[in-house]
Amino acid sequence: MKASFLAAIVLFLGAVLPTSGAAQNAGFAGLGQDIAGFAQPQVNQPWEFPKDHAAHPNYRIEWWYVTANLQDKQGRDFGVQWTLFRSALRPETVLGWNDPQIWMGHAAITSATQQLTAQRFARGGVGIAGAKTTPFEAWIDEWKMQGSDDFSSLFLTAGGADFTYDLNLETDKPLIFHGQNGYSVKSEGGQASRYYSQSNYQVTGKLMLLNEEIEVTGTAWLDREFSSQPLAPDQQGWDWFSLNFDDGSKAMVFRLRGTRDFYAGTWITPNGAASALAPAEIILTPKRYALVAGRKIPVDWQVILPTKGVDISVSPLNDQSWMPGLFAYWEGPILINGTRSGRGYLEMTGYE
Amino acid sequence: MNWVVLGVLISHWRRQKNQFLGLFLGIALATGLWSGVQAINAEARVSYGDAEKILVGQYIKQITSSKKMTVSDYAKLRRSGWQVTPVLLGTATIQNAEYDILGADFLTAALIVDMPNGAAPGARPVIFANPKTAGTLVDARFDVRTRADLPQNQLLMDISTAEFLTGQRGVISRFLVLDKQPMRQTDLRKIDPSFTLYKPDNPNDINGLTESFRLSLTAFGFLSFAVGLFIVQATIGLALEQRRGTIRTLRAIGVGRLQLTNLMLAELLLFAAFAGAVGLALGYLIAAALLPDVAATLSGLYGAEVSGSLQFRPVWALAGLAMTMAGTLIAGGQALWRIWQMPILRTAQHRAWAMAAHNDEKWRLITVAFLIILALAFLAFGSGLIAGFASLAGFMLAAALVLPSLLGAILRFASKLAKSAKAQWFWADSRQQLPHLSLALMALLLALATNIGVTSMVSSFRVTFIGWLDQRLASELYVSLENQEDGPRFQAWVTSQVDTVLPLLTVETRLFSNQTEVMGLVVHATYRDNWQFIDATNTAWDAVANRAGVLVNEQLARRQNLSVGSKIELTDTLSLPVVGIYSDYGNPFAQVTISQDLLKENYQNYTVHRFALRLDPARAPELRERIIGEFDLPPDAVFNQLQIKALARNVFERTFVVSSALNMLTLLVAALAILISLATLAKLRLSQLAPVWALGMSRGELAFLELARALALALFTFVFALPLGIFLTWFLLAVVNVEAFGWRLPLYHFPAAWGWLLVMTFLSASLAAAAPAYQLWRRKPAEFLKVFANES
Repeated sequence: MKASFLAAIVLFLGAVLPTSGAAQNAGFAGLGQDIAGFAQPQVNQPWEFPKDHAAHPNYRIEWWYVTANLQDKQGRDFGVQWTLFRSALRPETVLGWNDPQIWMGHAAITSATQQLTAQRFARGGVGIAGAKTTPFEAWIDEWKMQGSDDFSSLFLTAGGADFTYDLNLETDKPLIFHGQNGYSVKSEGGQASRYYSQSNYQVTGKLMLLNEEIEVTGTAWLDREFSSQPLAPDQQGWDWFSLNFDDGSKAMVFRLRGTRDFYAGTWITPNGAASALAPAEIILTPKRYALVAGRKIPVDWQVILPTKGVDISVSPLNDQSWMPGLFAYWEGPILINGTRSGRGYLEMTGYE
Repeated sequence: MNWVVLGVLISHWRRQKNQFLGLFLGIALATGLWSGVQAINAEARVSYGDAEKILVGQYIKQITSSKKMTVSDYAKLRRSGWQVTPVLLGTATIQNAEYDILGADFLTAALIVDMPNGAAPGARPVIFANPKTAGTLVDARFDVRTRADLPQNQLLMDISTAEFLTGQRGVISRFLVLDKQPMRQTDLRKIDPSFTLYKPDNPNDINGLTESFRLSLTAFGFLSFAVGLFIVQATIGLALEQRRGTIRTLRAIGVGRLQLTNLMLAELLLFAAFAGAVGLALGYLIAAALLPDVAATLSGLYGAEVSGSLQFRPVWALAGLAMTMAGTLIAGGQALWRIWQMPILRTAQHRAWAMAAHNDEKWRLITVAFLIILALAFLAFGSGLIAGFASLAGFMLAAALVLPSLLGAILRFASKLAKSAKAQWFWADSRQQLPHLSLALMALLLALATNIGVTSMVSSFRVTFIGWLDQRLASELYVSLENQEDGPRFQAWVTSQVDTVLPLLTVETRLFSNQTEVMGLVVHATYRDNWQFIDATNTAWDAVANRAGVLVNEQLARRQNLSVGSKIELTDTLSLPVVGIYSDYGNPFAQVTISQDLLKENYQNYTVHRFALRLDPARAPELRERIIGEFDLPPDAVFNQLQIKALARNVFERTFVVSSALNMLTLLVAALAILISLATLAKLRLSQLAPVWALGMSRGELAFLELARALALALFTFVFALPLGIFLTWFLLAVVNVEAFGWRLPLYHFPAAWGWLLVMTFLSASLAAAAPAYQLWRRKPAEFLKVFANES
């Protein structure tokens, strides 16, 4: 009896989640799907904080995304990922089992030799997952990101069968708004999202592996993004870089791969001032491919930002920074060398 | 040119219709029996595979509570690091029919199981039901889909739909604990003291026995296949002898040796493919006829899993055909080798085969020695099932190959004893025929041994298992509470209604670094009178009661090499000798039984949710209903031992249907082998019988002696098959079973079944010999005379 019903759960998942079958023809993870009834990001739409830190159930998708570059006392590099995704089947939220909000959590620890990952699913409406303010908390199961409503201080925890981490994030820098005051265009067809970051966290904390507890310090980058159709139907995935230079400047650049690739980015000065990078100001060139989970994935890159005097080579801490799961993708810490040095994170989706 | 030569070769079969029929039937039956058994096994395996893949281990742990659980408990558990899925159980009436409703949070499963190709998102809620139930449920509000492994009348759906249909808002019946849990989670009792982690026991969960049954079917199928191949080899060998003339002529007119061999190979493969395809159809029919019984057998042992309807699975069909091709090539290989080697001008000699028999015997005996050494080596150095089977195959083949020599010795001895000339001739003539018949007799030997082996095994199985049930299920009722908290209330409530309450305490622990269950019993007459030990001291129960000893199950004893008197260190402070070893069929885990007080003193986290109740058996059904009602238990939480035993008996009745059907089929194949050999011999034998006829023996007497010879040879073969069959049974029970499951089934003997088999052997041998004997009797004297016509 128990066996049979678990089997059916699996079959049913296809019907519950906006997944594989229908999604494959509509961009990575179905992000290019139709958007009837959902709210649309508007240019010059004002921000309301802390409210906008919480969930926006009337938008179709949303995420709270932290990536951290950490080192232990011996100088070993680690990467940590904490992500909470929200995906709405309908633009509303209700109490109880019928809530159309689906939540998904991804967590990972990456070292030079290991990639530990975990994935969680939950429906909204029953308290297992959500994101609220006053005080701020975003959570799924025992994973959580909680802290002050202005994002200046956050506690982060997540884990799986073989790892757990507890991190404290502190900053005194302001939030960064991408594109035009946070209106981030994703294609020439006008698809856009609302997108802001806190790129400047100092981190202290602990990584707990099965047989090891590691004290770490480092930096972290938090992304907040929500929209209802961030991708054009022909866009199959993206390559996204967060670059944290040793001189204090930072950059976020991405390329959306479609019939014609779409480029965008943000330059952040050491004192936290942000300005958008025009497509012509971003040159991304894959330099080396690695076989990851049976796919050829570009792991080494050359990144040139001609107007900023940046010409760097980017290579991963671990080629195999693969996030398996319902929507699989590559996400891992990177090391930067060239006209500037530093660390960062690379995310690549839609490589089949 | 190739076509012409092939045509010449194939023309042989036009003249030798009997032989053609023999070869064709041999291949077809071998394939049929093998693929039939394989089809049954494949069907069963697919059903298990599905179940096991999803089940993730055999038992799913559950969290229950003494209070009513709600959605907020779900959040509490998940937020404390427990990966669980809520279940809502209830009933609902949809269009005047009542259904059992099973609701679960479908979203949680993505974490434990691979994703299938997702179905398109539907607007209507999905409900799963088995095909029969789905057929009755027509409701446009729902998207009803079928799943064969759901019980009748049960509807499986997302918990949101279940809530709607049952009207139980926000209620959760229980939580299922997923297999993979996070590294860090809060202790269950700290989340809510009312929560209990509960591991349900399933009294029917005797997977091991099922496996064992399937294993015996496989062995059976293989032996049947071998029997069929003996026919093939016999026929091909004879056909070659008869075609020597043709072959010599073909060679003489310029057909190359290689070409000829290739063409004969092509002919053989053509045969194999054609007859194999017919065999597959036959196998399908056999499987379709037997599967309902096999399904009933397995589902009775395992739970409702095998669907009972046969699907055509290309896997077994292709495997069956490949097996046939390979088998036919092996059987025909020797013949092809001879063609390759045959000197071009060698005279065609019909008797060449028999003349070479002496030489053959030497090689056969060398092969036998080699096979026995190989079998022993597998037994000594191999481990695992494959080695067990390889060893078995070695022994069986060796026994078959040694048979002609053995029969030869018996016949020599008989002819020494014979006084009259007629008797001397009879035995001498039998010896002379032996080489021709030896392959058919080997087939008969294997068929008989298989028959004896499987019958004894299935019967031993039944006797053991039912005896074991009697011993282990001595109490009238067994109750599994879902919440330990209910324990005291249950005990207080039930004590006045029964003769004795025997709580069963259990605790999961690790012993010799393996998962082990420690069971705490109140030593009571129920156990003293009923438990039988594999080995024990005379005062085992007293020792357990006095905390001076422990009982261990056979699995633990075998794994750790424990015997009565061995010391076991249960905890750091508790070390006791083993005073008894008991059988525990089907349990994959080690188990230790100690007195209840000892368990309470030495372990903290034990559970008390199982109770055995002694009462007047007549009152058991009524009390069962009341317990279920009073404590709100699912029906499978309280079981009546009489029901279980009736179920087990029913299961074994079905098993017998299957095995006796296969037995009869195998025996028929062997009879066919004898018939073919005798029929082919009939013409050749004329020249030997004619002088005897000329000396005055009537045709009737000759025919009678032909019949008597077949019976005598069958009888001798039977005498040899009996110990071989017993050996086969012993091997399956004591070697293969132990290798596979860690426990050994005791061997029982069933002389009545042997007697019956002897009768069947006589019958089939008579049947096989009757037609040739009748032909001989009816043969015209002129034909006998013709034999002398060529002599001058």
